[in-house]
Amino acid sequence: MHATALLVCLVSCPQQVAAPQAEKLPLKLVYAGNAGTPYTAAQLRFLEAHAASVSFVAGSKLATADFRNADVLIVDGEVETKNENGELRLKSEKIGLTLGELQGMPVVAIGGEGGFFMDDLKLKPSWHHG
Amino acid sequence: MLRPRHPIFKGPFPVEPKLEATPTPENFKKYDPKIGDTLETFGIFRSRPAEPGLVTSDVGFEEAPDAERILGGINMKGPRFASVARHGAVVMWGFHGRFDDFTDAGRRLFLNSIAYAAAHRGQVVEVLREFEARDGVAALFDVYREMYLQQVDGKVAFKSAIARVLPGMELPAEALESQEAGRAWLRGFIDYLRPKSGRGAKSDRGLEVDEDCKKLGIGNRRLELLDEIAKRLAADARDALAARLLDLYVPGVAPAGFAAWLKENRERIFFTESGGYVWRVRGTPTRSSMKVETESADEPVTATAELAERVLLITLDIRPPYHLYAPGSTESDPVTIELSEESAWSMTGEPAFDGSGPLFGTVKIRVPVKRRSWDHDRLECSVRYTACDAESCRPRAVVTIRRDS
Repeated sequence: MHATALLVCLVSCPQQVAAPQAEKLPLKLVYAGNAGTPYTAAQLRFLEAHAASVSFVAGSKLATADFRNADVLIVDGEVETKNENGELRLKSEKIGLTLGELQGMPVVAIGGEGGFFMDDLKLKPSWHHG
Repeated sequence: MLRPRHPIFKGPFPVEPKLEATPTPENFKKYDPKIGDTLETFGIFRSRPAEPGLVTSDVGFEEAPDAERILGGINMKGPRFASVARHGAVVMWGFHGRFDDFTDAGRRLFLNSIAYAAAHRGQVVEVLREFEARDGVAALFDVYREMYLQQVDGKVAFKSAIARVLPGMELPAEALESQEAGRAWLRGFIDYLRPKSGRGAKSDRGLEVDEDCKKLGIGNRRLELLDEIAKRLAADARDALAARLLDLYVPGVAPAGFAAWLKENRERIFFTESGGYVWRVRGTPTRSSMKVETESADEPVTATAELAERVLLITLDIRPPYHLYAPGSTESDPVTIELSEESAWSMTGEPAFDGSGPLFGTVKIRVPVKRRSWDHDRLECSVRYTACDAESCRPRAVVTIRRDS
């Protein structure tokens, strides 16, 4: 189920790198992740710089009203933790929505937390089938 | 796995990565012995993220028109596994890491993925990933057999793996000893495989040979099977074999209406294995398997229900002028929710209503649940209520919501 760190993509696009441009999406985003962590703070700073707006909600508390007026919902979070013996464990926000509540809603599901989310909904991009 | 001309590379921010030759991981060669010694790659992050990312298998992924693989990545599985993919309006971005650590190419690709998701608003998920696809069984011989045999007690482990996906089928000795013999054995029946009937959760059930299809010599994913069913029903409307096959592979379509259904939908149907080895019409959302029963046809309350990993979502539609009462109400008996002892799920807390006091119109109730049995997928939920209008109340009634295995 666990993949090694995905750092690189496989692709062949043999062209020169273009000069950087202003990169801002005209989209309202909702970021559902871990509350109060440095990781989340960093992710939100990035999204604020690259989208029209972004709001935060803890994944565990995500409800349909939170993204009703958003363009895209982003599901993210850190999933690795250690138990009292220092052993690696996985944790999830356990987003409690049904597929029916999400059908047709644009979502970007990121990394392991995205994997848990997609597994819960039995979607094709499944961590269980990874 | 790569689609360099995919729209996600084009915009809104063109991605023109600087490619490098990366040594091909050894695990990739187990999936594709002919793969080269190096792969063209580009970095998504500048430094190694704290947590690994996510890839998903290609097996059965694109059998339905609602899903696509977009990009791969260096991973512990295979070259065709996807790190970026789409299902309905959900885009999987498998790369975990801080966004401020993206390379230029990684940043643009990520932003483009958000835009790609937005562009697919309204696209529905048509099939779920619930059953083992046939290609997954073939992969046991094509890819995984060698990996198993390299382990201690590898033959035992491989036999166990086969037994899990093909319960009750005896693996011939020659199929264990020779990859080609194994493939030949599988070729004899792979076209007739379908989920094993009987007890057990869907995900654990494995596959079995549909002897009716095998007798006809027509695989269940071929359109010819539907033509044969239509032909048999035209000759005899009570053809038992045709009715049995129709019920299995085109559920919800009655024999009397099948010819018309096939004529109308022929160009729009597809066969899904991960979604249950059934024929589906393109563009229809995945269907709930919950059945709802009311005590009588004139009850003023109807219900639909959807079961997710941790919640049973019940929607009650209350016909005017009636109303019901939420828990805590003192005016009349409130709505109560109960799961039967035979259900594979149990309630883990109090149901949450999206209203209080008198309930009118459409009411949503979220029942927190947890799975307690993997022996089956059955669930039975009773929703008891007293429907009242301005003057009087009807006798207490019940709506029963069922999910069968």
